[in-house]
Amino acid sequence: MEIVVCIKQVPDPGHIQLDPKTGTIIRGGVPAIINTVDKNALEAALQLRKINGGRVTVVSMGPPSTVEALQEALALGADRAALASDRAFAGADTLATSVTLAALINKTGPFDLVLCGYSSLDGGTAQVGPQTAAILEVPFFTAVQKMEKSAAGIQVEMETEEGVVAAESSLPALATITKGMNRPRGIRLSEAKKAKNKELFTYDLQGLGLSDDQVGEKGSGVCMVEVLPLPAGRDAEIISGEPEEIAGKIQGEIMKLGLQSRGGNK
Amino acid sequence: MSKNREIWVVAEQRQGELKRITLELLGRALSLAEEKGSQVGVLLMGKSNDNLCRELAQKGADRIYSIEGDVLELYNPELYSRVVAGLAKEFEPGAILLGATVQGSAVSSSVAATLRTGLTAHCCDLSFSEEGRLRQVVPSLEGYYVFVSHSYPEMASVSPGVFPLLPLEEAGKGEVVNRELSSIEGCLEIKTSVLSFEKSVKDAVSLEDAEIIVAGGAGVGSAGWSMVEDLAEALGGVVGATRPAVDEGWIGHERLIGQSGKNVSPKLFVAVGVSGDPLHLSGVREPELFFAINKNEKAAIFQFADYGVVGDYRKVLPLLIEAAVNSR
Repeated sequence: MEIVVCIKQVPDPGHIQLDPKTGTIIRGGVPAIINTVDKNALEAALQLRKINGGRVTVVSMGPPSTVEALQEALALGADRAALASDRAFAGADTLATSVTLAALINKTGPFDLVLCGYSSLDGGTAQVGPQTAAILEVPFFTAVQKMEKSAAGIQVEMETEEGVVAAESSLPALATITKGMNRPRGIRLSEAKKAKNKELFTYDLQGLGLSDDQVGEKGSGVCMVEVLPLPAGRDAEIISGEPEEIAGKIQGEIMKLGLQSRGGNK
Repeated sequence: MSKNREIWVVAEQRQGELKRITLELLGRALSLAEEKGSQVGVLLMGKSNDNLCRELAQKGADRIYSIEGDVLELYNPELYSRVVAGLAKEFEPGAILLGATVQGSAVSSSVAATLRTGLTAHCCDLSFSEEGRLRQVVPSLEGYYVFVSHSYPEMASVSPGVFPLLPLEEAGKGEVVNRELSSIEGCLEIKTSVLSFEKSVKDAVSLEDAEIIVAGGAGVGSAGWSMVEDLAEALGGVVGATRPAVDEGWIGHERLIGQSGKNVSPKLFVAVGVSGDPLHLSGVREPELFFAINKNEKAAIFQFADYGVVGDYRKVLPLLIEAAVNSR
Protein backbone atom coordinates (compact mmCIF):
# COMPACT_ATOMS: atom_id res chain seq x y z
CA MET A 1 0.00 0.00 0.00
CA GLU A 2 1.46 3.35 -1.07
CA ILE A 3 0.50 5.92 1.58
CA VAL A 4 1.27 9.65 1.46
CA VAL A 5 1.04 11.75 4.61
CA CYS A 6 0.79 15.54 4.34
CA ILE A 7 2.30 17.41 7.25
CA LYS A 8 2.58 21.08 8.10
CA GLN A 9 5.19 22.85 10.17
CA VAL A 10 3.49 25.38 12.46
CA PRO A 11 4.62 27.80 15.18
CA ASP A 12 4.32 26.17 18.60
CA PRO A 13 1.09 27.74 19.96
CA GLY A 14 2.50 27.67 23.47
CA HIS A 15 5.15 30.19 22.43
CA ILE A 16 3.09 32.64 20.39
CA GLN A 17 2.96 36.12 21.87
CA LEU A 18 1.34 39.31 20.77
CA ASP A 19 3.20 42.59 20.70
CA PRO A 20 1.43 44.54 23.47
CA LYS A 21 1.79 47.80 21.53
CA THR A 22 0.77 46.79 18.01
CA GLY A 23 -1.35 43.72 18.80
CA THR A 24 0.40 41.77 16.06
CA ILE A 25 2.05 38.39 16.45
CA ILE A 26 5.75 38.47 17.30
CA ARG A 27 7.05 36.23 14.49
CA GLY A 28 10.66 35.76 15.50
CA GLY A 29 11.94 33.19 17.96
CA VAL A 30 8.88 30.96 18.02
CA PRO A 31 9.88 27.27 17.78
CA ALA A 32 8.31 25.30 14.93
CA ILE A 33 6.63 21.94 15.48
CA ILE A 34 4.81 19.39 13.35
CA ASN A 35 1.12 20.29 13.50
CA THR A 36 0.04 17.93 16.27
CA VAL A 37 -2.84 16.14 14.55
CA ASP A 38 -0.61 15.49 11.52
CA LYS A 39 1.28 13.12 13.80
CA ASN A 40 -1.94 11.18 14.25
CA ALA A 41 -2.17 10.94 10.45
CA LEU A 42 1.41 9.69 10.29
CA GLU A 43 0.71 7.18 13.06
CA ALA A 44 -2.33 5.91 11.14
CA ALA A 45 -0.17 5.48 8.04
CA LEU A 46 2.51 3.58 9.95
CA GLN A 47 -0.11 1.26 11.43
CA LEU A 48 -1.68 0.63 8.00
CA ARG A 49 1.77 -0.18 6.64
CA LYS A 50 2.35 -2.65 9.45
CA ILE A 51 -0.85 -4.53 8.62
CA ASN A 52 -0.86 -4.22 4.83
CA GLY A 53 2.77 -3.68 3.92
CA GLY A 54 3.86 -0.94 1.56
CA ARG A 55 5.51 2.41 1.93
CA VAL A 56 4.85 5.70 3.74
CA THR A 57 5.89 8.94 2.03
CA VAL A 58 5.64 12.16 4.00
CA VAL A 59 5.23 15.45 2.11
CA SER A 60 5.07 19.13 2.99
CA MET A 61 5.15 22.62 1.51
CA GLY A 62 7.14 25.34 3.21
CA PRO A 63 10.43 27.20 3.51
CA PRO A 64 13.68 25.17 3.45
CA SER A 65 13.57 24.85 7.26
CA THR A 66 10.54 22.57 6.83
CA VAL A 67 13.13 19.85 6.22
CA GLU A 68 13.35 19.56 10.01
CA ALA A 69 9.73 18.50 10.25
CA LEU A 70 10.20 15.97 7.46
CA GLN A 71 13.33 14.60 9.16
CA GLU A 72 11.35 14.16 12.34
CA ALA A 73 8.70 12.24 10.39
CA LEU A 74 11.40 10.01 8.90
CA ALA A 75 12.78 9.39 12.38
CA LEU A 76 9.29 8.41 13.47
CA GLY A 77 9.22 5.74 10.78
CA ALA A 78 8.19 7.21 7.42
CA ASP A 79 10.10 5.66 4.50
CA ARG A 80 10.83 8.77 2.45
CA ALA A 81 10.01 12.44 2.29
CA ALA A 82 9.42 15.19 -0.26
CA LEU A 83 9.31 18.95 0.19
CA ALA A 84 7.86 21.61 -2.09
CA SER A 85 9.88 24.75 -1.46
CA ASP A 86 10.15 27.89 -3.57
CA ARG A 87 9.77 31.61 -2.95
CA ALA A 88 6.91 31.51 -5.44
CA PHE A 89 4.89 29.38 -2.98
CA ALA A 90 4.86 32.15 -0.34
CA GLY A 91 1.56 33.75 0.59
CA ALA A 92 -0.49 30.77 -0.61
CA ASP A 93 -4.08 30.39 0.58
CA THR A 94 -5.52 26.91 0.98
CA LEU A 95 -6.33 26.60 -2.73
CA ALA A 96 -2.81 27.43 -3.92
CA THR A 97 -1.40 25.20 -1.16
CA SER A 98 -3.57 22.32 -2.31
CA VAL A 99 -2.55 22.78 -5.96
CA THR A 100 1.10 22.64 -4.87
CA LEU A 101 0.64 19.63 -2.58
CA ALA A 102 -1.30 17.74 -5.25
CA ALA A 103 1.53 18.32 -7.73
CA LEU A 104 4.06 17.17 -5.13
CA ILE A 105 2.04 14.04 -4.33
CA ASN A 106 1.78 13.18 -8.03
CA LYS A 107 5.53 13.73 -8.33
CA THR A 108 6.20 11.06 -5.69
CA GLY A 109 4.44 8.46 -7.84
CA PRO A 110 1.17 6.49 -7.84
CA PHE A 111 -0.53 6.33 -4.43
CA ASP A 112 -3.33 4.40 -2.77
CA LEU A 113 -4.10 6.68 0.13
CA VAL A 114 -3.34 10.25 1.17
CA LEU A 115 -3.68 11.12 4.87
CA CYS A 116 -3.73 14.59 6.45
CA GLY A 117 -4.45 15.95 9.91
CA TYR A 118 -8.00 17.29 10.24
CA SER A 119 -6.92 20.90 10.68
CA SER A 120 -3.87 22.97 11.52
CA LEU A 121 -3.11 24.76 14.76
CA ASP A 122 -2.38 28.02 12.97
CA GLY A 123 -4.82 28.51 10.07
CA GLY A 124 -7.27 25.93 11.31
CA THR A 125 -9.43 25.96 8.20
CA ALA A 126 -9.64 22.15 7.70
CA GLN A 127 -9.70 22.95 3.96
CA VAL A 128 -6.40 21.74 2.56
CA GLY A 129 -7.21 18.02 2.86
CA PRO A 130 -10.50 18.04 0.94
CA GLN A 131 -9.20 20.66 -1.52
CA THR A 132 -6.19 18.48 -2.30
CA ALA A 133 -8.54 15.52 -2.85
CA ALA A 134 -10.58 17.57 -5.33
CA ILE A 135 -7.48 18.53 -7.29
CA LEU A 136 -6.20 14.94 -7.27
CA GLU A 137 -9.76 13.93 -8.26
CA VAL A 138 -10.03 11.18 -5.64
CA PRO A 139 -12.85 10.45 -3.15
CA PHE A 140 -12.30 11.84 0.34
CA PHE A 141 -13.36 11.64 3.96
CA THR A 142 -12.83 14.22 6.70
CA ALA A 143 -12.67 14.02 10.51
CA VAL A 144 -11.93 10.29 10.36
CA GLN A 145 -11.66 8.64 13.78
CA LYS A 146 -11.40 5.02 12.61
CA MET A 147 -10.10 3.52 9.39
CA GLU A 148 -9.23 0.13 7.93
CA LYS A 149 -8.47 -1.40 4.59
CA SER A 150 -11.49 -3.23 3.19
CA ALA A 151 -12.28 -5.39 0.18
CA ALA A 152 -13.59 -2.33 -1.67
CA GLY A 153 -10.65 -0.13 -0.67
CA ILE A 154 -10.93 1.78 2.56
CA GLN A 155 -13.61 1.88 5.25
CA VAL A 156 -13.85 4.82 7.65
CA GLU A 157 -15.85 6.37 10.45
CA MET A 158 -16.27 10.15 10.21
CA GLU A 159 -17.08 12.28 13.25
CA THR A 160 -19.82 14.85 12.66
CA GLU A 161 -21.64 17.15 15.09
CA GLU A 162 -24.64 14.80 15.21
CA GLY A 163 -22.92 11.43 15.24
CA VAL A 164 -20.71 9.03 13.37
CA VAL A 165 -21.03 8.34 9.63
CA ALA A 166 -19.51 5.06 8.43
CA ALA A 167 -18.51 5.03 4.76
CA GLU A 168 -16.40 3.23 2.24
CA SER A 169 -14.67 3.98 -1.04
CA SER A 170 -12.31 2.48 -3.55
CA LEU A 171 -8.66 3.52 -3.67
CA PRO A 172 -6.99 5.87 -4.31
CA ALA A 173 -8.64 8.10 -1.73
CA LEU A 174 -7.80 10.84 0.79
CA ALA A 175 -8.74 11.06 4.47
CA THR A 176 -8.21 13.69 7.16
CA ILE A 177 -7.59 12.23 10.60
CA THR A 178 -8.68 13.41 14.07
CA LYS A 179 -6.88 13.08 17.38
CA GLY A 180 -9.26 10.36 18.49
CA MET A 181 -7.83 7.96 15.93
CA ASN A 182 -4.71 6.88 17.82
CA ARG A 183 -1.87 7.92 20.08
CA PRO A 184 1.15 8.97 18.04
CA ARG A 185 4.37 7.14 18.91
CA GLY A 186 7.50 8.88 20.11
CA ILE A 187 10.85 8.66 18.35
CA ARG A 188 12.66 5.35 18.90
CA LEU A 189 16.42 5.38 18.70
CA SER A 190 16.60 2.40 16.33
CA GLU A 191 14.22 4.10 13.88
CA ALA A 192 15.91 7.50 14.22
CA LYS A 193 19.30 6.00 13.29
CA LYS A 194 17.86 4.73 10.00
CA ALA A 195 16.42 8.14 9.15
CA LYS A 196 19.57 9.71 7.77
CA ASN A 197 19.82 7.08 5.06
CA LYS A 198 16.29 7.73 3.86
CA GLU A 199 15.51 9.77 0.76
CA LEU A 200 14.38 13.38 1.13
CA PHE A 201 13.55 15.13 -2.16
CA THR A 202 13.05 18.85 -2.61
CA TYR A 203 11.15 20.31 -5.55
CA ASP A 204 10.84 23.92 -6.64
CA LEU A 205 8.18 25.47 -8.86
CA GLN A 206 9.76 24.20 -12.04
CA GLY A 207 10.47 20.79 -10.57
CA LEU A 208 6.75 20.36 -9.92
CA GLY A 209 5.82 21.49 -13.40
CA LEU A 210 3.70 24.36 -12.10
CA SER A 211 3.52 27.96 -13.26
CA ASP A 212 3.75 30.90 -10.88
CA ASP A 213 0.13 31.96 -11.43
CA GLN A 214 -1.05 28.62 -9.94
CA VAL A 215 0.81 28.91 -6.65
CA GLY A 216 1.58 31.25 -3.77
CA GLU A 217 -0.15 34.60 -3.52
CA LYS A 218 -0.79 34.78 -7.28
CA GLY A 219 -2.50 31.40 -7.35
CA SER A 220 -4.65 32.13 -4.32
CA GLY A 221 -8.42 32.41 -4.56
CA VAL A 222 -8.73 34.97 -1.79
CA CYS A 223 -6.68 37.89 -0.56
CA MET A 224 -6.68 39.74 2.72
CA VAL A 225 -7.70 43.37 2.28
CA GLU A 226 -7.92 44.62 5.84
CA VAL A 227 -7.32 43.70 9.46
CA LEU A 228 -10.01 44.97 11.81
CA PRO A 229 -9.01 45.49 15.42
CA LEU A 230 -10.53 43.29 18.06
CA PRO A 231 -13.37 44.98 19.92
CA ALA A 232 -12.21 47.06 22.83
CA GLY A 233 -12.07 44.98 25.96
CA ARG A 234 -13.67 45.75 29.27
CA ASP A 235 -10.24 46.02 30.85
CA ALA A 236 -10.72 43.88 33.92
CA GLU A 237 -10.68 45.26 37.42
CA ILE A 238 -8.10 43.12 39.16
CA ILE A 239 -9.33 41.61 42.41
CA SER A 240 -6.52 41.08 44.87
CA GLY A 241 -6.23 39.94 48.44
CA GLU A 242 -6.36 36.63 50.26
CA PRO A 243 -8.05 33.77 48.37
CA GLU A 244 -11.01 34.02 50.78
CA GLU A 245 -11.53 37.70 49.98
CA ILE A 246 -11.22 37.04 46.25
CA ALA A 247 -13.71 34.20 46.35
CA GLY A 248 -16.08 36.32 48.44
CA LYS A 249 -15.94 39.22 45.99
CA ILE A 250 -16.55 36.95 42.99
CA GLN A 251 -19.41 35.21 44.75
CA GLY A 252 -20.91 38.60 45.56
CA GLU A 253 -20.81 39.72 41.94
CA ILE A 254 -22.36 36.45 40.80
CA MET A 255 -25.17 36.86 43.34
CA LYS A 256 -25.85 40.37 42.01
CA LEU A 257 -26.38 38.90 38.58
CA GLY A 258 -29.34 37.03 40.04
CA LEU A 259 -29.08 33.86 38.02
CA GLN A 260 -31.24 30.91 38.90
CA SER A 261 -29.03 27.95 39.69
CA ARG A 262 -30.46 24.96 37.95
CA GLY A 263 -28.48 22.43 39.88
CA GLY A 264 -25.48 20.56 38.65
CA ASN A 265 -25.01 19.76 35.03
CA LYS A 266 -21.62 18.67 33.88
CA MET B 1 -21.49 41.13 -14.09
CA SER B 2 -22.32 39.39 -10.86
CA LYS B 3 -24.91 41.91 -9.83
CA ASN B 4 -27.93 39.73 -10.24
CA ARG B 5 -26.37 36.41 -9.56
CA GLU B 6 -28.03 34.49 -6.77
CA ILE B 7 -26.58 34.07 -3.32
CA TRP B 8 -26.71 30.38 -2.47
CA VAL B 9 -26.99 28.61 0.83
CA VAL B 10 -26.16 24.92 0.94
CA ALA B 11 -28.66 23.45 3.39
CA GLU B 12 -27.74 20.83 5.95
CA GLN B 13 -30.41 18.42 7.09
CA ARG B 14 -30.33 15.46 9.41
CA GLN B 15 -33.15 12.94 9.30
CA GLY B 16 -35.51 15.36 7.62
CA GLU B 17 -34.80 18.35 9.83
CA LEU B 18 -32.93 21.47 8.81
CA LYS B 19 -29.96 22.28 10.98
CA ARG B 20 -30.07 25.62 12.73
CA ILE B 21 -27.02 26.90 10.83
CA THR B 22 -28.97 26.63 7.56
CA LEU B 23 -31.62 29.03 8.83
CA GLU B 24 -28.97 31.36 10.21
CA LEU B 25 -27.32 31.43 6.78
CA LEU B 26 -30.64 31.92 5.02
CA GLY B 27 -31.35 34.96 7.18
CA ARG B 28 -28.02 36.55 6.35
CA ALA B 29 -28.24 35.63 2.68
CA LEU B 30 -31.65 37.34 2.46
CA SER B 31 -30.32 40.60 3.87
CA LEU B 32 -27.24 40.46 1.63
CA ALA B 33 -29.42 39.79 -1.42
CA GLU B 34 -31.70 42.67 -0.57
CA GLU B 35 -28.71 44.97 -0.35
CA LYS B 36 -27.48 43.80 -3.73
CA GLY B 37 -30.78 43.46 -5.51
CA SER B 38 -30.27 39.76 -6.11
CA GLN B 39 -32.05 36.63 -4.92
CA VAL B 40 -31.40 33.73 -2.58
CA GLY B 41 -31.23 30.13 -3.69
CA VAL B 42 -31.06 27.23 -1.26
CA LEU B 43 -29.56 23.96 -2.37
CA LEU B 44 -31.24 21.05 -0.63
CA MET B 45 -30.14 17.42 -0.83
CA GLY B 46 -32.10 14.63 0.85
CA LYS B 47 -34.21 11.53 0.52
CA SER B 48 -37.53 13.32 0.31
CA ASN B 49 -37.55 17.09 0.38
CA ASP B 50 -41.19 18.25 0.13
CA ASN B 51 -41.56 19.43 3.72
CA LEU B 52 -38.23 21.15 3.84
CA CYS B 53 -38.83 22.88 0.50
CA ARG B 54 -42.04 24.29 1.92
CA GLU B 55 -40.29 25.41 5.09
CA LEU B 56 -37.47 27.10 3.16
CA ALA B 57 -39.95 28.86 0.86
CA GLN B 58 -41.90 30.12 3.87
CA LYS B 59 -38.73 31.43 5.41
CA GLY B 60 -38.00 33.57 2.39
CA ALA B 61 -35.83 31.57 -0.03
CA ASP B 62 -36.54 32.74 -3.58
CA ARG B 63 -35.57 29.46 -5.18
CA ILE B 64 -34.98 26.00 -3.73
CA TYR B 65 -32.87 23.64 -5.78
CA SER B 66 -34.11 20.27 -4.63
CA ILE B 67 -32.19 17.11 -5.38
CA GLU B 68 -33.75 13.92 -4.06
CA GLY B 69 -32.50 10.39 -3.84
CA ASP B 70 -32.06 7.50 -1.40
CA VAL B 71 -28.30 7.96 -1.69
CA LEU B 72 -28.66 11.56 -0.52
CA GLU B 73 -30.32 10.67 2.77
CA LEU B 74 -27.00 10.49 4.61
CA TYR B 75 -24.01 12.79 4.24
CA ASN B 76 -21.67 11.50 1.54
CA PRO B 77 -18.77 13.94 1.14
CA GLU B 78 -17.92 12.98 -2.42
CA LEU B 79 -21.49 12.92 -3.70
CA TYR B 80 -22.64 16.06 -1.89
CA SER B 81 -19.63 17.94 -3.25
CA ARG B 82 -20.30 16.78 -6.79
CA VAL B 83 -23.92 17.92 -6.57
CA VAL B 84 -23.00 21.39 -5.31
CA ALA B 85 -20.17 21.82 -7.83
CA GLY B 86 -22.31 20.52 -10.69
CA LEU B 87 -25.20 22.85 -9.94
CA ALA B 88 -22.86 25.78 -9.37
CA LYS B 89 -21.42 25.24 -12.87
CA GLU B 90 -24.91 25.09 -14.34
CA PHE B 91 -26.52 28.05 -12.53
CA GLU B 92 -23.46 30.21 -11.79
CA PRO B 93 -24.39 31.72 -8.42
CA GLY B 94 -22.50 34.83 -7.28
CA ALA B 95 -21.79 33.44 -3.82
CA ILE B 96 -22.14 30.15 -1.97
CA LEU B 97 -22.46 30.05 1.81
CA LEU B 98 -22.14 26.93 3.95
CA GLY B 99 -21.92 26.24 7.67
CA ALA B 100 -18.46 25.83 9.19
CA THR B 101 -19.47 22.35 10.31
CA VAL B 102 -17.70 19.08 9.55
CA GLN B 103 -19.95 18.63 6.53
CA GLY B 104 -19.90 22.26 5.42
CA SER B 105 -16.11 22.51 5.70
CA ALA B 106 -15.61 19.35 3.66
CA VAL B 107 -18.13 20.18 0.96
CA SER B 108 -17.12 23.85 0.63
CA SER B 109 -13.45 22.87 0.29
CA SER B 110 -14.06 20.26 -2.35
CA VAL B 111 -16.38 22.52 -4.35
CA ALA B 112 -14.08 25.55 -4.17
CA ALA B 113 -11.11 23.51 -5.36
CA THR B 114 -13.15 21.91 -8.15
CA LEU B 115 -14.31 25.35 -9.31
CA ARG B 116 -10.83 26.81 -8.63
CA THR B 117 -12.38 29.66 -6.68
CA GLY B 118 -11.58 31.28 -3.33
CA LEU B 119 -12.93 30.07 0.02
CA THR B 120 -12.70 31.32 3.58
CA ALA B 121 -13.43 29.36 6.75
CA HIS B 122 -15.15 30.15 10.04
CA CYS B 123 -16.45 33.55 8.97
CA CYS B 124 -18.02 35.60 11.76
CA ASP B 125 -19.40 38.32 9.49
CA LEU B 126 -20.26 38.88 5.84
CA SER B 127 -21.07 42.12 4.06
CA PHE B 128 -20.63 43.72 0.64
CA SER B 129 -17.94 46.27 -0.10
CA GLU B 130 -18.68 49.38 -2.12
CA GLU B 131 -17.40 47.54 -5.18
CA GLY B 132 -19.88 44.76 -4.48
CA ARG B 133 -17.34 42.19 -3.31
CA LEU B 134 -18.24 39.88 -0.47
CA ARG B 135 -16.19 40.88 2.57
CA GLN B 136 -15.49 37.71 4.51
CA VAL B 137 -14.48 38.40 8.10
CA VAL B 138 -12.45 35.74 9.88
CA PRO B 139 -11.26 35.91 13.50
CA SER B 140 -7.52 35.58 14.06
CA LEU B 141 -5.00 36.04 16.82
CA GLU B 142 -4.26 39.57 15.67
CA GLY B 143 -7.74 40.81 14.99
CA TYR B 144 -10.34 40.17 12.32
CA TYR B 145 -8.97 39.42 8.88
CA VAL B 146 -11.13 40.64 6.01
CA PHE B 147 -10.82 38.59 2.82
CA VAL B 148 -12.27 39.03 -0.64
CA SER B 149 -12.30 36.47 -3.43
CA HIS B 150 -10.65 36.98 -6.82
CA SER B 151 -13.34 35.08 -8.70
CA TYR B 152 -16.95 33.90 -8.59
CA PRO B 153 -18.63 32.21 -6.90
CA GLU B 154 -17.37 33.85 -3.72
CA MET B 155 -17.42 31.05 -1.17
CA ALA B 156 -17.42 31.12 2.62
CA SER B 157 -18.12 28.78 5.49
CA VAL B 158 -19.74 30.56 8.42
CA SER B 159 -19.45 29.65 12.10
CA PRO B 160 -22.71 28.46 13.66
CA GLY B 161 -24.28 30.91 16.08
CA VAL B 162 -23.05 34.20 14.61
CA PHE B 163 -26.15 35.19 12.65
CA PRO B 164 -29.56 35.37 14.34
CA LEU B 165 -32.52 33.25 13.32
CA LEU B 166 -35.22 35.05 11.36
CA PRO B 167 -38.84 34.99 12.42
CA LEU B 168 -40.97 32.80 10.18
CA GLU B 169 -42.53 34.67 7.27
CA GLU B 170 -45.64 32.84 6.16
CA ALA B 171 -45.79 34.81 2.94
CA GLY B 172 -42.90 33.11 1.15
CA LYS B 173 -43.43 32.26 -2.49
CA GLY B 174 -40.20 30.44 -3.19
CA GLU B 175 -40.01 28.46 -6.38
CA VAL B 176 -38.81 24.84 -6.25
CA VAL B 177 -36.42 23.72 -8.97
CA ASN B 178 -36.17 19.93 -9.03
CA ARG B 179 -33.06 18.34 -10.50
CA GLU B 180 -32.44 14.66 -11.08
CA LEU B 181 -29.22 13.41 -9.58
CA SER B 182 -28.40 11.64 -12.83
CA SER B 183 -28.52 14.94 -14.73
CA ILE B 184 -25.81 16.56 -12.61
CA GLU B 185 -22.27 16.37 -13.92
CA GLY B 186 -20.16 13.68 -12.29
CA CYS B 187 -22.86 12.27 -10.01
CA LEU B 188 -23.01 8.85 -11.65
CA GLU B 189 -19.35 8.03 -11.10
CA ILE B 190 -19.30 8.22 -7.31
CA LYS B 191 -16.82 5.95 -5.60
CA THR B 192 -18.05 6.52 -2.05
CA SER B 193 -20.89 4.61 -0.40
CA VAL B 194 -22.25 5.51 3.01
CA LEU B 195 -22.87 2.49 5.23
CA SER B 196 -24.51 3.83 8.39
CA PHE B 197 -25.12 6.80 10.67
CA GLU B 198 -25.04 6.49 14.42
CA LYS B 199 -26.51 9.43 16.26
CA SER B 200 -24.55 10.61 19.28
CA VAL B 201 -26.17 11.16 22.63
CA LYS B 202 -26.84 14.83 23.28
CA ASP B 203 -25.96 16.62 26.49
CA ALA B 204 -28.80 17.75 28.73
CA VAL B 205 -27.84 21.42 28.46
CA SER B 206 -25.90 22.39 25.37
CA LEU B 207 -23.06 24.86 25.49
CA GLU B 208 -24.90 27.16 23.07
CA ASP B 209 -27.92 27.42 25.37
CA ALA B 210 -26.03 27.61 28.67
CA GLU B 211 -26.42 30.72 30.86
CA ILE B 212 -23.41 29.85 32.97
CA ILE B 213 -20.14 28.62 31.51
CA VAL B 214 -16.86 27.85 33.22
CA ALA B 215 -14.18 27.52 30.56
CA GLY B 216 -10.78 25.95 31.13
CA GLY B 217 -7.63 26.56 29.11
CA ALA B 218 -4.04 25.46 28.80
CA GLY B 219 -3.17 26.95 32.18
CA VAL B 220 -5.40 24.49 34.03
CA GLY B 221 -3.41 21.30 33.48
CA SER B 222 -4.75 17.78 33.57
CA ALA B 223 -4.43 17.38 37.34
CA GLY B 224 -6.63 20.37 38.14
CA TRP B 225 -9.20 19.95 35.38
CA SER B 226 -11.78 18.36 37.67
CA MET B 227 -11.87 21.62 39.62
CA VAL B 228 -13.15 23.44 36.52
CA GLU B 229 -15.88 20.82 36.18
CA ASP B 230 -16.73 21.04 39.87
CA LEU B 231 -17.10 24.80 39.72
CA ALA B 232 -19.36 24.55 36.67
CA GLU B 233 -21.49 22.02 38.49
CA ALA B 234 -21.60 24.05 41.69
CA LEU B 235 -22.72 27.14 39.76
CA GLY B 236 -25.31 25.16 37.85
CA GLY B 237 -23.53 25.73 34.57
CA VAL B 238 -21.64 23.80 31.96
CA VAL B 239 -17.98 23.35 31.12
CA GLY B 240 -16.34 24.86 28.06
CA ALA B 241 -12.77 24.65 26.84
CA THR B 242 -10.14 26.24 24.65
CA ARG B 243 -8.29 24.51 21.83
CA PRO B 244 -5.23 23.47 23.94
CA ALA B 245 -7.45 21.86 26.61
CA VAL B 246 -9.27 19.88 23.94
CA ASP B 247 -6.05 18.96 22.17
CA GLU B 248 -4.58 17.71 25.44
CA GLY B 249 -7.60 15.47 25.81
CA TRP B 250 -8.77 16.95 29.13
CA ILE B 251 -12.25 17.27 27.64
CA GLY B 252 -14.09 16.33 24.45
CA HIS B 253 -14.11 18.38 21.26
CA GLU B 254 -17.85 19.07 21.70
CA ARG B 255 -16.86 21.46 24.53
CA LEU B 256 -14.61 23.63 22.38
CA ILE B 257 -15.56 27.31 22.29
CA GLY B 258 -14.35 29.52 19.43
CA GLN B 259 -12.91 28.68 16.06
CA SER B 260 -14.03 25.25 14.79
CA GLY B 261 -16.02 24.95 18.00
CA LYS B 262 -19.16 26.49 19.48
CA ASN B 263 -20.28 30.09 19.74
CA VAL B 264 -21.77 30.77 23.15
CA SER B 265 -23.71 33.63 24.74
CA PRO B 266 -23.82 32.98 28.47
CA LYS B 267 -24.80 35.48 31.16
CA LEU B 268 -21.88 34.41 33.33
CA PHE B 269 -18.54 33.38 31.88
CA VAL B 270 -15.64 32.28 34.07
CA ALA B 271 -12.34 31.71 32.25
CA VAL B 272 -9.80 29.63 34.16
CA GLY B 273 -6.23 29.40 32.87
CA VAL B 274 -7.36 30.88 29.55
CA SER B 275 -4.83 33.11 27.81
CA GLY B 276 -7.34 35.20 25.88
CA ASP B 277 -6.61 34.00 22.36
CA PRO B 278 -9.08 35.76 20.01
CA LEU B 279 -9.78 32.46 18.26
CA HIS B 280 -11.36 31.34 21.51
CA LEU B 281 -12.87 34.66 22.58
CA SER B 282 -14.50 35.20 19.19
CA GLY B 283 -16.85 32.40 20.24
CA VAL B 284 -17.91 34.15 23.45
CA ARG B 285 -20.64 36.69 22.82
CA GLU B 286 -21.21 39.54 25.29
CA PRO B 287 -21.50 37.82 28.65
CA GLU B 288 -23.12 40.03 31.29
CA LEU B 289 -20.43 39.09 33.78
CA PHE B 290 -16.99 37.87 32.80
CA PHE B 291 -14.33 36.66 35.26
CA ALA B 292 -10.81 35.62 34.36
CA ILE B 293 -8.38 33.76 36.55
CA ASN B 294 -4.84 33.45 35.23
CA LYS B 295 -1.44 33.35 36.85
CA ASN B 296 0.10 35.50 34.10
CA GLU B 297 -0.72 39.14 34.82
CA LYS B 298 0.00 40.02 31.18
CA ALA B 299 -2.48 37.49 29.79
CA ALA B 300 -4.69 39.10 27.13
CA ILE B 301 -7.79 37.70 28.82
CA PHE B 302 -7.60 40.51 31.39
CA GLN B 303 -8.31 43.04 28.66
CA PHE B 304 -11.64 41.40 27.98
CA ALA B 305 -12.95 40.34 31.38
CA ASP B 306 -14.90 42.48 33.86
CA TYR B 307 -12.92 41.16 36.80
CA GLY B 308 -9.54 39.49 36.88
CA VAL B 309 -7.71 37.42 39.43
CA VAL B 310 -3.95 37.17 38.97
CA GLY B 311 -2.87 34.00 40.67
CA ASP B 312 -3.14 30.28 41.10
CA TYR B 313 -6.66 29.10 40.32
CA ARG B 314 -6.17 26.13 42.64
CA LYS B 315 -6.25 28.46 45.62
CA VAL B 316 -9.42 30.28 44.57
CA LEU B 317 -11.58 27.65 42.89
CA PRO B 318 -12.12 25.39 45.94
CA LEU B 319 -13.40 28.41 47.89
CA LEU B 320 -15.64 29.46 45.02
CA ILE B 321 -17.02 25.94 44.70
CA GLU B 322 -17.79 25.85 48.41
CA ALA B 323 -19.43 29.28 48.33
CA ALA B 324 -21.53 28.34 45.30
CA VAL B 325 -22.69 25.08 46.88
CA ASN B 326 -23.58 26.86 50.12
CA SER B 327 -25.56 29.58 48.38
CA ARG B 328 -27.95 27.19 46.61
